[in-house]
Amino acid sequence: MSAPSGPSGTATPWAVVARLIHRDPWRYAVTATFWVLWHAWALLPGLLAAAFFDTLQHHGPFGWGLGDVAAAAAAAGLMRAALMLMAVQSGVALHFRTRVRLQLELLGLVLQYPESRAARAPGALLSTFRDDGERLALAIDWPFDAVAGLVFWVVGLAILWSVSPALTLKVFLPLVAVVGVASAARTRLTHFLEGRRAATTRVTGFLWDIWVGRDTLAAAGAEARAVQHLARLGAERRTAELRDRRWLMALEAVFGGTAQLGSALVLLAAAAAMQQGRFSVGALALFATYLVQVAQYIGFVGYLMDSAREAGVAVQRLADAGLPGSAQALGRGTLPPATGPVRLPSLTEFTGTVPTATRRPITLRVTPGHLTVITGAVGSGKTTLLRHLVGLVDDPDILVSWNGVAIDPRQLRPPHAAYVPEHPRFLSGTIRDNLAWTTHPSAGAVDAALARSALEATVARFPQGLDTPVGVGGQALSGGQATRLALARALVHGPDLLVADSLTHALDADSEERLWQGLLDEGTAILLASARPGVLRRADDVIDLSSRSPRFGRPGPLDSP
Amino acid sequence: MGTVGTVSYLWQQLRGARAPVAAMGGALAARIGLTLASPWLVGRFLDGVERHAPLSQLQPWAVGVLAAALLTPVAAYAAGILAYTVEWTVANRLRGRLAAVALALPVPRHRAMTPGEMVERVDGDVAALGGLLSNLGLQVVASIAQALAALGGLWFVNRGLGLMLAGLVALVAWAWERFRRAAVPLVEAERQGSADTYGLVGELVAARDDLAAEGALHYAHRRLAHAAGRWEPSYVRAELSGYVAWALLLGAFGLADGATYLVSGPLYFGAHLPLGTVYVLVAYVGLLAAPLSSLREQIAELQRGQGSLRRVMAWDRQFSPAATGGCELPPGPLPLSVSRLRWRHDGVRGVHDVSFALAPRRHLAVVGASGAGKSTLATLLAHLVEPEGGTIHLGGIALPQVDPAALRRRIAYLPQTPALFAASLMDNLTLFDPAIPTHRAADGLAAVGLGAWTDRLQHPLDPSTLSAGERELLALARVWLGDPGLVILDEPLSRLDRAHRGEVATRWWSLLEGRTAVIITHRLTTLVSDSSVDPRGAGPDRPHGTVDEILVLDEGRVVEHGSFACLVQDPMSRFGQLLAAERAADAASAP
Repeated sequence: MSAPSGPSGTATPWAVVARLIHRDPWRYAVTATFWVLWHAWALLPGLLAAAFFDTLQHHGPFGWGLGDVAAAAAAAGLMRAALMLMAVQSGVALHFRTRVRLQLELLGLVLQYPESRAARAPGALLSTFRDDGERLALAIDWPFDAVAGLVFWVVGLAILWSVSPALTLKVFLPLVAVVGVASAARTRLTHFLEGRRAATTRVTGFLWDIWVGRDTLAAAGAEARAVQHLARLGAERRTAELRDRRWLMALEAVFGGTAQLGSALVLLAAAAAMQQGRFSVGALALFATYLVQVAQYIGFVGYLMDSAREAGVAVQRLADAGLPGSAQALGRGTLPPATGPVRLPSLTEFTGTVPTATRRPITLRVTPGHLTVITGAVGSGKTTLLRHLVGLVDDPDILVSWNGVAIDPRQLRPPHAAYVPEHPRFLSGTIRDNLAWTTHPSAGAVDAALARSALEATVARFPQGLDTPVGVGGQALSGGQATRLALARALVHGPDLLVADSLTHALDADSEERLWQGLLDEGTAILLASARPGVLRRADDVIDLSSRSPRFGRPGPLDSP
Repeated sequence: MGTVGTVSYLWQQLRGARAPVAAMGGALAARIGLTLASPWLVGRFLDGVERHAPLSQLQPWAVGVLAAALLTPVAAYAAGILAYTVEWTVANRLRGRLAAVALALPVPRHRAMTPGEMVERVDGDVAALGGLLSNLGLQVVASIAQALAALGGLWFVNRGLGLMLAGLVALVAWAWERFRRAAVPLVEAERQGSADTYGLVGELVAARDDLAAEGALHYAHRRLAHAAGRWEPSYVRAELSGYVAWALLLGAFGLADGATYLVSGPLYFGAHLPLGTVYVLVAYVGLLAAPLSSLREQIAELQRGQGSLRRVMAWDRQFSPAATGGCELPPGPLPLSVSRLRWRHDGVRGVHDVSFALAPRRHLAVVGASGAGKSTLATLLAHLVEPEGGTIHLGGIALPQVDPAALRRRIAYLPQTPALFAASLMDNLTLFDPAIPTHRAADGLAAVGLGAWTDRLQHPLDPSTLSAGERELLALARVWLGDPGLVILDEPLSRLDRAHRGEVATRWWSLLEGRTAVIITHRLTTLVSDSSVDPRGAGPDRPHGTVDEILVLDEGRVVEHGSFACLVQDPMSRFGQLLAAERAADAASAP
């Protein structure tokens, strides 16, 4: 039986774990030392129990009396408590910081190419941030947990061997066989785990959707039905969870019974020896205690294997949220390499393909002070083309080049180029905060950008002006206000090229007129996706993606009213 | 929130799952009995050894231990599976109820909460609570039962030692309760930090296009690092408080071992106890430690659950079926009358003192600059928001008196941003209504020109693959499926290209035929069908493709209300001016 892993199988988390440890080596070393000591300390109670019975029947070790054994037992317990508190003291902060590091890295990966192969729904991506980040952060315990378990087993076995090699073999061999079979069964569980994660993602994704679509549901009186749908998804998730859990519980039950089974084996094997006085009650106590602990540590090995496979799935999902090969980047703590913005006046002619199934070639030009409009029917790929153009999509099949040279589209960034999406989003904070994502613009630059985006008067009407909160994601703004704020956010850089999606769909005629006046005056090249007749009439150049052979040029008779 | 209140709340959650709970209790009792029997049998075996009994008398005891060892896993497995089933049943039910509560929250609270935070509360908190239930159901109850049984066994064998250990356990329990109480606010602060941080992550994820295109990676990093930095202190303290309880137990059981040795040793020397019984004593102290130690392992999760439980209970208590009027709406198109309507939204948007009346079958366009309060008026008319003042009468009945189900059936509302769900295309069309047959959904698709999608009805829909226009068409298709007496459309065509707009508008107008309609738009040319620049050409009193009445809003107030035919000809009217401005703007930009 081998773990299911192929070329595209579960990514190995160990390289990531090693890099994460390397980020904070001293804190890690302190935490690891205390935990290993804490685990090894668990060997003392068994030895002391044996010493107690030896003291009763013959004589204790080191000539100890009852009082000495009792005092040693009490001291051992208190010391173990102290060791644990010290381990936790450094370990908790280590976990937290490791997780935050991972989440920051994941953010970097997501923002490098926002549209990755997996986890495109925000709800699913959030679950990757939360659950997979936490899971992988916990996996850094693995190395010292494994060492501690090994120390415990080796030392424990050595002690038992010194008491009775024959009995050690007779009792432990069957136990090791049980453990081996059960452990092998665990490797089959990975695909259950993946099913469980997928079912969970469906639930969180749907919760996200109904929160965003709350108005639609409320207006249709469909809230109760949506909740019923959630219940159906929940039932599927429960089935997936139980399928996984059934196996784990069976294994746990077997492991949990190991101690009793071991005790029974000791009694059966040692009955004659005990009767003849060759095997003391103290030795029996030692065997019985260690068997309980062995069972606990078998459970511990199971826990280690669980956390290893979960870490593997987590790395895979984190990497899927980024680019191919992201797993190699995780844990390094570096931001993705910055692709420096290019100077734009030098880029004038763009060649690419229409990003729909037909993949027709297109060419278009941008000119300072000109409005270039990409038009076409619904689904003709206007938005997708723009997203490719500014590097929001990682799609090696769509080759783009400027002036005959292939460039990394992610270089089309402020301050030289700026993009306004169709449904702009903002972060909780004030209008001013949302204009200062990349730079801290001067008051003059902010005023100029607001004026050019026809937002000046609106902001002036707000009692708090620029310090008006935009609400969660910008929801306090109306559609038109959000679009114009996004435009201001782009114009604050004074870009040479402005790439915009729709832009005017949420604007009234008056705002739109003021907006065009501000936009077209300053020599910015504008590339706009729109199908509005009013916009097409203003265009200097037009390309129609829904025509059979998209041709670039002056607006023709087809495009005028 | 007292412990009693918590337990009774959790017990209520188990309603409907009590048969599996009882079965689980039986399995647990069997497991505990077997666990206690095993050392007792070993003790009898040792007594036999001490008496120098023949091997044939010793072996049955050893076989008894073996039998107990083989039966224990069976009982443990049964108890575990039952507990898990119960946990998931209860947690899923609770998720459904919290989601219903969330959807019923008033609009300002809805707007103030990120989807990420909502997911965290409905899924994250309930998952923590589910853990709490399974812990209470299995680990905690079983552990306490086993500890009590072990104490009982000790008491049975030696009163003095039994009393002493009972005292020690009581002391540990008392200290735990103190720690637990002290930790509840810590844990709540920790959960809040978590909700804040993941709320921000949700915003960042939703705005990832904007952030990436702005090159705002460093800004996003700073925001996330800042939120995490504020969360860290409460996280560390909350985690530590869980481990302190654990450390306490480790120390206490070191003392318990020592005490057992000190008490039972002299009793053995004085021949008051046989060796086998001393062994049972030592083993039972171990059996006392084991369940308490699994208790201590659950302490951290229990404490996290406490905070989550509080938040879940606080939300759950708000669950109340919406207050209802019982009036049915009359059939057919509905008259609408609005009087002195007032609502403010965070001082930025709102409507003030809006009044108007609309006769059945009439079509009203609400126009005005962006931010004038048009969408707010639409949400008020759709009764998604309670007005702060004023009344809305529909079909002659004040809105609060209308039966909510009837209201939802008879009003169709198409919001500005159409919502889609990660479910099948069919569910997206019918909004999860299984009563709507497939052929009607297919008709709806055909009506908006998406007839080609009919064979995909049962397939899952991936909203991220749809263009804005396709989303709009789907949302429009939803309206087709009902038989509304009032249709409220918020910017229905703004995202469509010309080809689709003409086609959809035709069907859109035929849908509105014979119904009362309110159409929100900032593009006045939308009101004039593309084919007729002059709207007066096509019909006796209303040309096909225009509205009857115009209402102009400015900064939340009605500045003009009149018939379309009249206003469109009056160059001095607000509407006439707006229309002229728009046409001039379009003409100016023409080549």
